[in-house]
Amino acid sequence: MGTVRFLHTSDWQLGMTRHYLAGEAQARFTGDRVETIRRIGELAASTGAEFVVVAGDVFEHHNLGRQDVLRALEAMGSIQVPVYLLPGNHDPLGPGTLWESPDFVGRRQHNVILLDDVGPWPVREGVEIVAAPWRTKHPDSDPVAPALQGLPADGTVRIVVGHGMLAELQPDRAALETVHRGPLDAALAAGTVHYVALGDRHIQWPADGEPGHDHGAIHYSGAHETTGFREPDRGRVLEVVLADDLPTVTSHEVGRWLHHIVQADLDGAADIDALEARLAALEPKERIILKTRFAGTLSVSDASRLDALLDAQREVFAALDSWERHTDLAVVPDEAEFSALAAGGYVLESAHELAATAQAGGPDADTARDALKLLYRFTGGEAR
Amino acid sequence: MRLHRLHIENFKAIDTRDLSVPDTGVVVVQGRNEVGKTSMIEAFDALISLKDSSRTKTIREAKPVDRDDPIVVEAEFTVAGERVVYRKQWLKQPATTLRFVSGPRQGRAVTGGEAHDAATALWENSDTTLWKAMRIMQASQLEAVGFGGSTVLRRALEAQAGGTSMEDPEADSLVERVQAEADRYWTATRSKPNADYRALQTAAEEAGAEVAGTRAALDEVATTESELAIVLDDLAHLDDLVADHLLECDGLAEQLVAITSAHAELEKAEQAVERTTRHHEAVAARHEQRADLRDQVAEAESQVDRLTAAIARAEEELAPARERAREAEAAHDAAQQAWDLARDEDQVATDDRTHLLDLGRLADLRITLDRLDELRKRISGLREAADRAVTTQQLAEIERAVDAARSAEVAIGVGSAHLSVTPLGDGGTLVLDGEPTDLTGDWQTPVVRETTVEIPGQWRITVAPESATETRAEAARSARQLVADLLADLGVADPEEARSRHLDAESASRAIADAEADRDAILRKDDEATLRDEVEHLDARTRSYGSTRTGTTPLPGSLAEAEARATSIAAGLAEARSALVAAHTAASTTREDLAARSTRLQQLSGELTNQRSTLTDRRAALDAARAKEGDDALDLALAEARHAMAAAEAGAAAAVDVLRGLDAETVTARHEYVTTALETTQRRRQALGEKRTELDARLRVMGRDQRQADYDRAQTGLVAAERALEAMTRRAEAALLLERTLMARQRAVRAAYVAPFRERIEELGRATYGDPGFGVTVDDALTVTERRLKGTTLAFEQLSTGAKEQLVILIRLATAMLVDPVEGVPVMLDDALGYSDRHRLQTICRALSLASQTSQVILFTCHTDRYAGLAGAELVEL
Repeated sequence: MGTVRFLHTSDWQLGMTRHYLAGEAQARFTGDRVETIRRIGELAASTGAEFVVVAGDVFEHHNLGRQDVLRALEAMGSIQVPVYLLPGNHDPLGPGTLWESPDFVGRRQHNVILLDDVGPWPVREGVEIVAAPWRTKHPDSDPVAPALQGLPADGTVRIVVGHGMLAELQPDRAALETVHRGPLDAALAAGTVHYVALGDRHIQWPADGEPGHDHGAIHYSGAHETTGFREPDRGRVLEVVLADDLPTVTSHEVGRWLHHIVQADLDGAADIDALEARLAALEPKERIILKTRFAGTLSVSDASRLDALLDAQREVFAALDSWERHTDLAVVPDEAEFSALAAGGYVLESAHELAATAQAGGPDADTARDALKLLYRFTGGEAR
Repeated sequence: MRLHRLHIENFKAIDTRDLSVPDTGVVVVQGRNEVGKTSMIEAFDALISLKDSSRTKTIREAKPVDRDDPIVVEAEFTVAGERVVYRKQWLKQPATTLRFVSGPRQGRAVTGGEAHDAATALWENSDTTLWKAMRIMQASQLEAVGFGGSTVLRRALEAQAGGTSMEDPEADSLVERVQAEADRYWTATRSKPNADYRALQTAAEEAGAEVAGTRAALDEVATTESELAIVLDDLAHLDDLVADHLLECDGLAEQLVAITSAHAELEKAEQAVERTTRHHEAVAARHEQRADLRDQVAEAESQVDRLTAAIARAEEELAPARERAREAEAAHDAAQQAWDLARDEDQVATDDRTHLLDLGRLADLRITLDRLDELRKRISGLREAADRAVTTQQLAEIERAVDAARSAEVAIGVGSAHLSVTPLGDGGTLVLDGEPTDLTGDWQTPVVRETTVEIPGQWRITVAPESATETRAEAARSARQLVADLLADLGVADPEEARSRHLDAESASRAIADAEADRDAILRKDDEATLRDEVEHLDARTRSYGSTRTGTTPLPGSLAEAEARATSIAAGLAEARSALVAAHTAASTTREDLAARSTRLQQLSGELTNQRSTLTDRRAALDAARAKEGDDALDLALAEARHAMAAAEAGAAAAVDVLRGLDAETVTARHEYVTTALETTQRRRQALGEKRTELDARLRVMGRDQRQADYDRAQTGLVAAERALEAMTRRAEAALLLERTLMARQRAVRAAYVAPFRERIEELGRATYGDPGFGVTVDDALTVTERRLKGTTLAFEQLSTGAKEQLVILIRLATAMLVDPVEGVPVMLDDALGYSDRHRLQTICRALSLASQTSQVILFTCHTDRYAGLAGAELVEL
């Protein structure tokens, strides 16, 4: 067997919209996801990859506008090696498919090859891609196994390109479209195939450092750009080298966007200082989508300061939302905070009443906390 | 301020006046109108407020017009911890002095402007608001005055509320700012979001609707794709089906060729069967015909024999039948003669009975006619009497005339003078109207004419009647003449005869009616002429009967005898008739029998002739047929034909078996089915192909990318709108909660502050009105806004004048009771409670007593008894 070097990527889901991205952030997000394809091309060039396989879900759906399709094709065309596209569950073959649209068919560059038939596709002498395209959104059986049938162990290097969740990663045990490990292992053991490039999982698997991440034969590359908070890192692609022995797999970060959860225990001004420093360290802010998850107890003034900090940062990051479900932040006025109020006056009594409601944790606790902060502002506290 | 003493000179109606007031308790200042009660308060006010140099309207008007003395007002009071004697003199030698009687400046005195300034300073430190508020002046407006301006009262209430201050400008300003914040989100009542807040809510709702709308549009694409997928799937399935059908069709076509050939064989065999069957039928017909001919000859021979025997029998039976017929005819003739005889006898008996009935009827009719004649004569006589009758009207006229004549006569006697002559002693002869009379007793006569009484030889006395007497006599004559004329008209002699004739006429009328009734009864049905015609007819018929009667029997003596004979003869006639009918029937029967036998014999003879002819014909026909084809040859031909037919049938059965072996029916049916199914499937395939084309086209023109873009934009918009709404909701809810919390606390503080004031008024109110439910509403400015009495709550303005005045007094008394006695002021009521009834006056005195235990109460009044119920009050008479 001679050496084969290629890039394995998947789940580009071009045309994806994130509804929490307002205004220009969404446009940037969309544009960057196309731009990353060009960087994959650069990586292919720099690593000497012979071709690129995209293991399904190239597009988010079939309803892409002409502009999005053409820009995507333009980016793919910029790659100097063949790019093999596999239809996945988001963009299956079949009625209404984007793959048959005049935009795609008419403007597809020569290096872009659509794997629209099940089975082996010759890449060059002695090298084949074994494609397992999705023909429907809801297949009723293993979407990869049929592609393995009838392959001879004739010394041809074969790379399976498939889409779907392996049983061990599939959360839905009853799912019909689960990819079964058995036929893959059997084919690998029989020497009829040599690497399985899978898509559908947006996170690289096995992750770097996990068993098999470097020499295993079955891999998910993960998405090239982050698509949600479950993905802790920026998008990656896999550089795969097949030679006589085991495959060599190296991951490369190509994505620029990050979904990031800021989790912190806040119990005083020092914690807010630390949080401020953490946020300051995150770069580039315009491509980071933040979600906060706080716990702890703050004075009214600290709580107001936190609000001010988050309000300011919200303008800088691509998006910043609090994760209400995981936020457990109590606001308790300290003795000095309402010293401006006359002792024994009803304003102070009101403040105590609101503090008690906020601490009791009932349905009005959040409102009481906000009311306290408002009172604090009106009685000479920090401007909000 | 506590007032101890007041001295006034030359102020309005007051010359000189002194008033001492104890530290607590009620002083009632009582005096007639215009004695200067109100002026005392005005004088005190002047002392406090006007400089001794003042020439104000108050001073000018206070000066008595008839004197030129100075106005002097001096008061001793305690204020701001100093007891002073303050004196002012106006107009003449104006002067002011202020002496400190006790307190920090005890023993000091100041005069002039310094004194005025010192006193003013004292007053400025005191509660002038309270001083003014605690007075209720005569004819002043009864208003709900707030006591919030009274520092003394406020201090007292704050002390009672635990030191809480009503005045907290900083807190109030905070509340205002919080309210302003809440105003940014809520309507004034806080019940609904304001326009800005609502706009965000609406925007979020609209964004949600937009998402739903665009989602639906997008789903339409997915639905169309799904439909197309199903159509493609179905098309693939139909293609498979068509291929299967075509394959099966080929196999079935081969089988059908073999079946067609077998069918041809079968057809040939069936034709052979038909042919042999037809030949067999022809031979069998001839064979049958021959048997028929033989049977017919035998039949004709048998008939000839039978008829010959029957004719012999009929001829034997004919002679006795003829004899029976002759005998029946003779019996019938005899019965006919008997019947004719009986009928003649019956006719005679019937005629006799009719004749006798006619005679009876004739006699009755004659009696009836005689009776009618008699009645006619009687009615005629009665009618003559009736014609002379006096009618009831005529009789009444006569009676009236007789009564009138009688009345006229009486009137003459009654209306005229009377002449009385009474003998004295034996009298002697008197000549009355020329007639000598020997009177033995009194004699009297009405003077209706000139009357003379003559004592013969001595005197003649002539008495003339009065003039009216003649008139009355004339009337009497006329009346009598009328009676006479009426009687003459009727031809009667006197009224009695007239009455008698009236009665006779009535009885004649009744008799005529009776006679006419009798006549009508006789002529109930017939008229008289008919009866007379009948008599005539019967008379003629009975007369001629003797000459026309037949028969030899004598005429019966009576109708009964005739009836009996007729009945007897009728019985004989019926018998003869029965005998005649029976004989007639018997004769007919025997005659018919004879005729029938004769006819039968003739028929039999005819039939025999015919049968003999038939027999001859049939024998000839049989012989002719046998000459053509002998009986044996015919039998042989029949056997051969039957054999040929059986052979053909066996051949056909064999062909059917061959066909059955090929299962032609199933194969044909299956071929038909598959052919039809193929056509149907191809039609369905074509329809589905069209649907696929249509769905493809639909998908192409759906603008799916635009739908997706719209949905994504709507979804992003929704997230943004919800985020904005959530942020505003948080701010709005926070502002609302803060505002509610602050205001609730503020209300609680104010309620605690106002409570003692309200409670004290209610305490006095309960004492005054005896209503445990008495209550008032007091606002933050310490103004009483509502009163609740006997379960009814009224606003202050709604109260009657009396109730307002009472409430106003109670408020003053409550205030007096609340404030520090040293800092307090006297409660002064000038001619108050004029609107209250006696009972209310008594109860309000209770409140006055209660308040006066700690306060000074000064009452000015012109009514000596208004405050009579106040125990312990000090009375000052002016």
